[in-house]
Amino acid sequence: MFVDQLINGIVLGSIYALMAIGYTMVWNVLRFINFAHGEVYMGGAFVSLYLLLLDTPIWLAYLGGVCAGAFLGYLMEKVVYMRMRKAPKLNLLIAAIGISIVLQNVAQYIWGATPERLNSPFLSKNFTIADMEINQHYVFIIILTILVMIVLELFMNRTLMGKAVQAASQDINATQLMGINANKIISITFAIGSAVGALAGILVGPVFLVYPTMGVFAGLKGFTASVMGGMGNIPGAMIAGLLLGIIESFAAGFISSGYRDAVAMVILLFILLVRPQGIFGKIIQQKV
Amino acid sequence: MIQTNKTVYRKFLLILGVIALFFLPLAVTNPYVMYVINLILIYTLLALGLDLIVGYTGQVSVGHGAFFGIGAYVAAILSKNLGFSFWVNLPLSIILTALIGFIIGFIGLKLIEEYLVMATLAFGTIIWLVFLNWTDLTGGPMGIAGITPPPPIKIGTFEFVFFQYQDYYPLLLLFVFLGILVTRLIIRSGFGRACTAIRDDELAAQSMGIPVFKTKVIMFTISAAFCGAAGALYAHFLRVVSPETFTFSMSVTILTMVMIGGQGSIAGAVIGASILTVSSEALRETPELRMIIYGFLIVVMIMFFPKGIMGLFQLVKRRLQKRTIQTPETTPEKEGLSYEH
Repeated sequence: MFVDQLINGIVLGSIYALMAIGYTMVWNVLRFINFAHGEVYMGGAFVSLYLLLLDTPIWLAYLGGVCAGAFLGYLMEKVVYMRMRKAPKLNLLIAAIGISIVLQNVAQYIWGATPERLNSPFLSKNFTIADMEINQHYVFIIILTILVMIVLELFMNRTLMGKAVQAASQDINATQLMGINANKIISITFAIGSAVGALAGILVGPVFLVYPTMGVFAGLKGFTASVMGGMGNIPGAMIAGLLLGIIESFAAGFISSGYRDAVAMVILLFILLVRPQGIFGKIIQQKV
Repeated sequence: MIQTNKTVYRKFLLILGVIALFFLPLAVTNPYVMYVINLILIYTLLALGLDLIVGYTGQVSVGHGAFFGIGAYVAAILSKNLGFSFWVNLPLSIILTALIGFIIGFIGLKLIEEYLVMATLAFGTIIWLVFLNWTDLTGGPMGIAGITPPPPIKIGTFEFVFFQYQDYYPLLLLFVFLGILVTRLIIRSGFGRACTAIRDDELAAQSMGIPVFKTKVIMFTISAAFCGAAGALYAHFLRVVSPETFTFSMSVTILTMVMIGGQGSIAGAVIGASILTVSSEALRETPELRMIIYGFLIVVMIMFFPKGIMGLFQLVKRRLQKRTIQTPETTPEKEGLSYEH
């Protein structure tokens, strides 16, 4: 029972960590929370589901979903956010809410509201370790999440592009003065963050099903994780995501499953109240 | 002299119009039309409340649907379980909603603008889950039915009853006018000006000595109280409340009203509430399509006309004036690429 909950928690946590990366990366570059990030998660899962219906091989369907998610994020930025660079942050936020509503309901219009299961080659198989059955898909999620984090860490620290993203995170205006194309960096950030978010949605599909509003709670919890980790702190977001998943899993198992989604919300409110800069964050100094 | 005559004349017309509005049920006999008009009035109250914090203070909340819900459920529970009448429930609803609004504002307004959005979203979700799961108190997914209408009031030989839609209308109208009056009083006071200063430039406001956090929290509390009042009115109007009314999409609908009508404008709140209520009644059969249109409208309005329909009116008006008086227009422009202050 205890170990079961722990594994569930780690799996959930991996998903939240992947979601949190998207929020944190965009926050770093633009100082704005992409409220529509949850819809990228949903969109990626739906595209994979659709590709599978067309008899695409599973790996290609997954990859297609990730690419579609990246493209969706890129499109959002190009069509809406880029045109609003000079607008107050408040307006961007409202635009993001609007995008999120449109995408959710377009998905519902096309695919209907009934939850559907995304196929996974590992779902029906189990590992047996010391009398314990562990679903192979869970292991797949955990391994893939770790892999994504390692790749992302390498990209950010070892490649020129990653360093440009880091520079943009520190000061986007100065970055531009140094001859880096800021718009390109912003696009890349959106694409990467969205690709990771879409991957989370696709990985969740076989376990928690795919439906139009799946991104709402996942988005909120991903955001909670990014706040817990300290807004803008990528490793912090990963650890906080895992932590959140484990806490939620235990709370749902031992308290009440009806209030399962409320657990993360209460944690979010608590964090905002007690330590708004996050567990691993520093206090942000506002500059004139 | 001509000018003052004109304003007196205008005021006279306005008062006449207001009085005429109270007699609307005499002209409208169709109960469904009356029902829609009543809904518009309730939504106007909600939009006015949200506009106080979004339009005048520049803080976005996506939890006002939950405040509306709390107001409605408090009234419903008090009426059903304790047999309290509307006149007792209304102030209690307002007080409780304001109190919860204060707590949420206190949590959400602390650090970054976006935190309020997330805090209100989290709060709205929690409240919705409570409505849905606390079956003993809220009736769960079935909600609460059989809320009593407000008891009749006797003034002299006149007796006001509130059984039918056309009876309820004057009561709602009265509260909307009260809401407009309170909004005007607030925004024209020193406190209201402090709020607009915070909206326009928070750091500048702070250096002028405005207690930013305190001002925002107070305004958020007032804003929540408006929704509490609307909730109590709604519960006693429909006499049934159920959780699906008070989801996230309710919060978004109210926000859309404010955005479409025009932030920071009383007329905007009225216009937004009217347009959205009528269009949502017209699109009743296809809710997804309705929400797609709402979302699309939000994005387009905020990108191209961030001041909404009232902003468009003012733009046209200014253009016309410019043609006659030829005054150079100065618009402050913000420099820089990022969204940072």
